[in-house]
Amino acid sequence: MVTEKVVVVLMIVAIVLSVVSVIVTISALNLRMMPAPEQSINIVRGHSEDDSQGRVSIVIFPPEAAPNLSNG
Amino acid sequence: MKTNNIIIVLATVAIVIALANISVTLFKVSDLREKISGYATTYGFVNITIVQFANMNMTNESISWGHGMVITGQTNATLYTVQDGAAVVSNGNWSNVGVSALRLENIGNTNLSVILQNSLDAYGFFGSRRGSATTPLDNVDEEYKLNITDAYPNSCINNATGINTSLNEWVYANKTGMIVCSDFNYEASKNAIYIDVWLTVPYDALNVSTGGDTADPIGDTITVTGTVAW
Repeated sequence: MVTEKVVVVLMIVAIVLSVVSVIVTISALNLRMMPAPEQSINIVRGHSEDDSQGRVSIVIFPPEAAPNLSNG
Repeated sequence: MKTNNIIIVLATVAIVIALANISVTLFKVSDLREKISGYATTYGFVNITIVQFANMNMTNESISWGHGMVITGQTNATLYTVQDGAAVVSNGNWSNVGVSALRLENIGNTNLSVILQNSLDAYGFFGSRRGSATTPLDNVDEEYKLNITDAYPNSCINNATGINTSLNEWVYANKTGMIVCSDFNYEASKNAIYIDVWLTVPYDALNVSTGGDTADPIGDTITVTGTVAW
């Protein structure tokens, strides 16, 4: 008779724990399922400038004789 | 007997609740996995900041013609580069060995608007006796021109208004600067242009060199400025 009472008490405890488990599980998972923010892509278009330099060079010697031009 | 019935009922209730617990847990965890994996794009969270920066590299930064002269009896000599191919010389005895166009690459992460600016015009370069600083384009024997071409197809996309030149077009050197490419592409294999240079050397150039093979060259600096294209 005493054993049966113990079993009843244990069963009640099991039910209570199960209910608590369900509540805790749902609560915990809901915390992680809060709506996420919208997608966000930021393009920073700050003024950016770059310089490069090239060099053109030539060595010119005077011609041996100037051409014969009427308008020269 | 009555107690046994109560135990059976309680056990049944316990089993049902436990099954419910298992079902709810499995359902919620599966849902959670979908959300945190990014699989469900509706809830994905992406925060990216892209900083656009201009960065160019002149991989060939010098056109050096060495020494030579206008052939006797000619009013000018013509020298021009042809991309990375053989440069052309006529009516002069300059060597074209190792002479090729300037080559510019966009190595940044955005398209650029490119401006070319020369330090000198044709008269400033050669200073011919018949030339004039006020009308530097009047002497056809004295020219200094540039030509922009794609090193890779679609590197320069001139789709904006107000540009000063087109691709594959010889234009006179400009000391105030000119937009030569409104959208200089940054994508790999679409990000390089040539700057060819044309010199018409007048026979009466006053900016000549003395001192034989060791003579100092005359020359000009071309400044290329790239800004983020909007």
